[in-house]
Amino acid sequence: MAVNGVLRPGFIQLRVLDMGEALVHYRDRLGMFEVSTGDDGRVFLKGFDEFDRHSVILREADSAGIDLFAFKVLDDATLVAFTERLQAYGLETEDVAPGADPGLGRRVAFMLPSGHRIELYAEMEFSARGPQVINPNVWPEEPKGMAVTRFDHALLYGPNISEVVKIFTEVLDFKLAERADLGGGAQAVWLTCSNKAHDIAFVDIPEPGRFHHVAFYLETVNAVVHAGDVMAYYDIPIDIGPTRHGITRGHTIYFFDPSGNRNEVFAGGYTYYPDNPTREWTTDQLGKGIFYYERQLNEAFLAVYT
Amino acid sequence: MTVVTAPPTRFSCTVIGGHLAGDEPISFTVGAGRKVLHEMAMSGRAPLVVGCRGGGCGACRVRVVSGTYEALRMSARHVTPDDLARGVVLACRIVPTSDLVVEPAPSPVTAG
Repeated sequence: MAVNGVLRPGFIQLRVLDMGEALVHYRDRLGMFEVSTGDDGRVFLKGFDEFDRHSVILREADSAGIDLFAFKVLDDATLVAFTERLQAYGLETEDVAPGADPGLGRRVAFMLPSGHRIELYAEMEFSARGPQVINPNVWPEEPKGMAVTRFDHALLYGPNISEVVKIFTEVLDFKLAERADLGGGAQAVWLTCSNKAHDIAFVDIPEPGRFHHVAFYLETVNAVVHAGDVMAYYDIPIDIGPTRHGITRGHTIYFFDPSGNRNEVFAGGYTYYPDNPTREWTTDQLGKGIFYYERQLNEAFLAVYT
Repeated sequence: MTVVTAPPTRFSCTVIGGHLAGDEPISFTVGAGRKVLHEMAMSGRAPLVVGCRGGGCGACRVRVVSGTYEALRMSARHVTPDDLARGVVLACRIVPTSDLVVEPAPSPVTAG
């Protein structure tokens, strides 16, 4: 078996300032399926191409940003093994009971030195609105809006990124696919647990626990361009794009949800294998790394975050 | 026949000390019911960083020096109730109800 250990990003929980507006954005504009609303008001959503019950959770709050990022692991034995390794490394873990969230098994949570809460889990119910498995069509239902296929990754901002890389690579068996030198001792890192160019990424800043963007995958550059048309039609604020990254090679557009959380839709990205070397970017070529065509940095893209 | 003059539909907004304009005062007009930052961005004269435009990132935090406005909901991380009381708001979440003068008020929680 190839992909084991940590399989993939499982779900992300984001804070939104107004749930009604957020739902129009994530459900109607991005085209996610609205799965359920919890008693506490949190709303659960998923991309049309995901088997699992939900991948994005929205919580209404008085500030925007990220609450937690959860990864799905292969099975419960793997969860037990990772828990032991996290504790042996010196990290404090917290057990979250099965069923604390709908359709979700037990979770093990820990805090990164960047100020972010990470959770691992092995079991989640399958969605009734996931990909078909008998003589399947390409979608279970016709998706609308930008028609995002899945929650793909996120970029988080916080301190102590060297330590974060050690935890992901030495404890969770991730690999460092790419790194950029941001100058002044700060770095940006792209970590993968799969064949993807990245499953999670971090940028060094002094403030802990901050959020740059959540990314959703589209299969073609045409789909990215269509997403751009949807953004323009509905006056969704666009941050950058359509453009291409040098880092990860993704074709991309960044935009904001109504609470100011940055989203990305992208297609492509190279295929990564664990024997591949780490790609490195120097400070003077950061423009090319982020904007492969424009080759110029944009203050708002790096400095604006929730 | 009497000609009725329509009331003005645009308010003027002046940003003083916006670092992207080298601290020169920059003025632009804001249409009725429109948000200050959005109209500033469209005017092509941008003394402030145009960030998330949704009240979440704090990049457009300003203090209203003079004028009246309606304030839409904003992240409490960047604008506390005390801030609101003393006219500190996010430019992307205010709709002028008179001419305005504002100055940058960078969020104390952000790295800079």
